[in-house]
Amino acid sequence: MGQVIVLGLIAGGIYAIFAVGIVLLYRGTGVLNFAGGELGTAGLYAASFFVTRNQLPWLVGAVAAVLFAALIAMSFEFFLVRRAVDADPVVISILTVGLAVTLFSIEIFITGQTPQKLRGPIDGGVEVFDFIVGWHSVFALVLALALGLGLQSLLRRTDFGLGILAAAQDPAAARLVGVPLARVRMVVWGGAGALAAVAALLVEPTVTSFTPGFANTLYLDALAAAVIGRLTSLPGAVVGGIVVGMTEAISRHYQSALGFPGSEYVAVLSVLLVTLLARSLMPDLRRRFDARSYQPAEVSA
Amino acid sequence: MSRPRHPLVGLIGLAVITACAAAPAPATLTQNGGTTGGLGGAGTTAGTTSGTLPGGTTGVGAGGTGGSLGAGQGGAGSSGGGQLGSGSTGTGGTTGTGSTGTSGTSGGTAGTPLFTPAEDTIGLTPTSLRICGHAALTYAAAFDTSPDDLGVYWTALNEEKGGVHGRKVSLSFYDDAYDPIKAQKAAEDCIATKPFLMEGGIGFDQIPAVRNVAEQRHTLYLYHTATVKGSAGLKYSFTELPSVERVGEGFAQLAGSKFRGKRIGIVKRLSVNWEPGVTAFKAVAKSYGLNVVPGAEREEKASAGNYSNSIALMKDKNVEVVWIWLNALETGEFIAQMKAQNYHPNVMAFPFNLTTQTLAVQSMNPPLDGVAMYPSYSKGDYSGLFSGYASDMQEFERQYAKYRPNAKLEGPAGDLLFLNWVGQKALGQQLLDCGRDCTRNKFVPLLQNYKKVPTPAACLIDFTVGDRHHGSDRLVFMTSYQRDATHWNWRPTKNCVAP
Repeated sequence: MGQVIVLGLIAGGIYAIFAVGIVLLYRGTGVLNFAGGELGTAGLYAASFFVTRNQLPWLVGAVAAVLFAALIAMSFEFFLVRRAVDADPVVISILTVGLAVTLFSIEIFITGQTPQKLRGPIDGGVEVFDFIVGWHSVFALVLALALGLGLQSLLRRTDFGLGILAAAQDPAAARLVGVPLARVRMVVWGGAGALAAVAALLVEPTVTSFTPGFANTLYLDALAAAVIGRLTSLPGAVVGGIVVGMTEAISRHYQSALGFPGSEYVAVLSVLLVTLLARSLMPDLRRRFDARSYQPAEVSA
Repeated sequence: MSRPRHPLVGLIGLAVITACAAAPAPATLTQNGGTTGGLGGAGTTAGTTSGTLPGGTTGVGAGGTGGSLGAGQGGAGSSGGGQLGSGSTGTGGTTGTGSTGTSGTSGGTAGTPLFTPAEDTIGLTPTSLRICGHAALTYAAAFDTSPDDLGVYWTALNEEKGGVHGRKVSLSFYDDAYDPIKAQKAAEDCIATKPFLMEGGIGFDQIPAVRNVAEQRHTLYLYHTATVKGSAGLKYSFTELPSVERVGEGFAQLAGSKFRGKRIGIVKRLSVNWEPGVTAFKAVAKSYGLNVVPGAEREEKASAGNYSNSIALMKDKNVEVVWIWLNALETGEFIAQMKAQNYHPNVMAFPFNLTTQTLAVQSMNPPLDGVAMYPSYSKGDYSGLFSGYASDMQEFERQYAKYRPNAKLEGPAGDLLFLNWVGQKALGQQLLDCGRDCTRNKFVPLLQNYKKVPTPAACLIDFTVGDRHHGSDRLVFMTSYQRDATHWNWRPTKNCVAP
């Protein structure tokens, strides 16, 4: 069982980083980004160009990956999202599907399905429950926690963070009080792209190679994690990531015994449905509980 | 956006997650348990309907029974049939013992040519013969090769011998992207060019999809390895290689000869077209008394990437031999991830030089074991069991040096190009045997009565048994070895292993 926990935490850390990016963009713009996985993969191609092809240090490739993914996301915001300023966020969300498909097609066009290699930042790891956890995975988990808490503080306690929240909730009012809407949105899109690249960079050493569409499945799990975290809570996204990672690991552990291939997807869906159901029932239960608590005591005559 | 919308939007994502999957009785039944012990009774119902066309070749009866592995074995028809007596195959037999079988369901239609006169000469002119095929060209770069490297046998034949009976042969491939849907599209594109026949490249999931296209479009289809399941009654589709089921049996034979008493685990592709191989493996493993560890079996979807869970399971179950029933690229990733976990079990997998050259020295601790439907190749090495077909290797190397000098035969594509070359050469021999006036209706019966070793590197091709659509049950056992300072390849340990 120890291995299951370790595997769940490793996967959860990656999902959490992706999920933080999803929540950040959602809170800042109201848009649910479906292109995060492909943005991360595009970043990996940039890193591979520098690290594998040109033999530069991993860190150079990592910076290039983050900047490249951020640049694509910001360009998307500048050239498309900004032009559709009056569009419903759902429409913009669908546009991100288009971005994902475009990036995927470009990757296929350039590299075919040829797996690309990117050597990891550090070799080795720590053995936990008879399983070697790479240092990059440890770092991913720590980074996810730091991002969840750090970005939450940033949004709540800085003017820029409050500006991001204001820009999403009431753009007109935010503009009136001097919030630079265009800049705020661009930074949020760039941040989401960068986080996707960071997550992809940290998962690639475990997988050892990548192809177009590499991070899409991971990203879908991260979407589930973000929803479990209410889509608005950054620490919630981290918790959601770990819940999804653990759910998958437990499910896969018992998959052979159950003889149920693909059970992890059903398990994640079940957790998600239970979460949503509980969330919708909770206010009602609380109301009933509160009502009973406050019932005036009968006074006998 | 208001909050109540959140769950709905999230569910869209989750939806994507969940989405991301011849003669009638009386029959004479014989059993074909054979050495593997797991085969069910293969029907051998003899066709009784004689053709009436003079000078025809043997009619093909059908309507045998399915064995445990689902092979509906059509019986040989009586002599004197027309050009092609075809008939539907019988129903499947029971699983396991092979003791049960039912007779065929319909009579043969001896004397009826498979192709109409209009279809008979498609792809043929007095000076040309067109062949096309589908293959995962998208992976060519991964193997450090080019689609243009695949036609060298025909180029040499055209240049040096004037083609096949004066017809220059052209070969073109369409990219199936290793995907069944795209394979059907590639097949349609291929058929649109009006080929004499269509070839099917490697892909357990692609070929069954394309078989359907070939049947619908009345296109002669020669394919690589695929499951027998679903092939009963197909008229236009043939393979000269062992089936998925036979390969699964072969891995059990290998395990039986090397790993008796060791704890065996299975990591397999999550696919209905791969699964019959596992079923066959287990049946033969059981008959050999192999220790396939209960619960040490894990499915992986295509290109899963991260195999941590499977590796943890294998370690947890103390598995000593992992049978990796995945493709070459996935196998390389899987083994690399096992090594990263400091886990070094014996491995049985498909033997491609891509895997060993990617893993380099990691492929030697311990050496990998493989079972293949094709010959092993290691450039310039004619020692050991390579010597049995060194003449083919040397001819292959001569042709490539002359017509594709930039092809890297020493690289990860070398064995792939060689297996393709051997396949094309076998086809070339058959087309030559078909004669100057060869048409599709002449070629098919020739194929169905074919029984010979077409070239030293190939094993016996024998279409005269079974359903006459599956021409081989011979496999090659291999092991990884260090070829030179920078190349780790596979070499044969047993050639042409029979069931």
